[in-house]
Amino acid sequence: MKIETKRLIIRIPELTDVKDIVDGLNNKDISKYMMTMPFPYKLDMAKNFIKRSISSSKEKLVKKYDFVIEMKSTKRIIGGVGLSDIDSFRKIAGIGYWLNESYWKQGIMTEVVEAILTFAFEKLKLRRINLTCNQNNRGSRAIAEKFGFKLEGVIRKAHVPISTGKIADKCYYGLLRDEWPAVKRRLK
Amino acid sequence: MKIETKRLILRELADRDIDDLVEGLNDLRVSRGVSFAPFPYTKKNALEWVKICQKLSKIKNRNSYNFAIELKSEEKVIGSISLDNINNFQGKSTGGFWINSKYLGRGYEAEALSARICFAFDKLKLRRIESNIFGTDSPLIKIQKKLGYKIEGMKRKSFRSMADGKIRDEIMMGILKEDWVKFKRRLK
Repeated sequence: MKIETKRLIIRIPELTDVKDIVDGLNNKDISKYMMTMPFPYKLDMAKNFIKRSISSSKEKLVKKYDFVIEMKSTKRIIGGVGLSDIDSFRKIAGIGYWLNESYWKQGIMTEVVEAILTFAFEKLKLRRINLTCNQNNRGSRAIAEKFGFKLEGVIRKAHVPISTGKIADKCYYGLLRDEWPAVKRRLK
Repeated sequence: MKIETKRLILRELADRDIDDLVEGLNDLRVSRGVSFAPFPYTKKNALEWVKICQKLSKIKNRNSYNFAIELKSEEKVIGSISLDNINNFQGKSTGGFWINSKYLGRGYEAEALSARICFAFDKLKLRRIESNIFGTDSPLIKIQKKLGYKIEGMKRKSFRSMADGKIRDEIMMGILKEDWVKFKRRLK
């Protein structure tokens, strides 16, 4: 399982990716907005993540994809993106992502999310993608809005990142497959 | 685990409830609003479901409660009510509910929901319950609002019922402990 874009390869992680993943995720400015990302983020956590990702991608009915993002030019892992809670009856999944801080503001996540949404809607034929994030996470919300996700709700006091324990509101976004072609056209 | 109210007992589901469960859930008006019930709903479905609930009730660090709603005067199970995905760190839980359509509109809904809210906030020390409603026409929206729940959003075309296969919008409702305190103060 592998998706290629102009600058990136999005793929299932391998055990050799462990250092790059720790380098990216052991950053409080990232974990402070993630519900279940511990800080400090350690080597064995990355190892477990990789093992889980590999085994869940091999299941008969895949319930989630946890990909890493490889920069073609340097072969480094610079982030992660995933589809979670894939519901094959309702044709729905959630999307999540993170990017090493050194690579922010270069349009990388736009490249990633376009590829993943194409995969989700056109290959997996999903009908709807959910995106939730901490209300204070302006970067994540900007991505959601760029891709035409509709803010469908603000869930009060429902987002408590484990690294900070701070209670915040959670933004709930949704994008429907019917809306995807127009979004794709607009991005070009 | 058992909770008693004026007219109802909320208790663990038992094998002897099978016939009552089939009577209540083998009814499209009910099953199209719950996430787990096919139609027609058979004894076999009910038995399987009771077994799952019994198993879940015995796990260590229990994170769900599926209560039968028993009407004292008839010694009959007229619905069920649950807390699922209990997360003590996040302080929240999701909740499900259905009631046999013959018993609608006699105030049993609010009586059962109130008991569940008390249990979640006072006993389990949670601070938030999320109870999404499948379909915008459900009378439960109004009943939950009366108890202090707020409508926090609407997931477009998110729900697909196993009973009729139809796709509907999902109303996101949530109640915080402070909403409940306010509601109770108003009652006095």
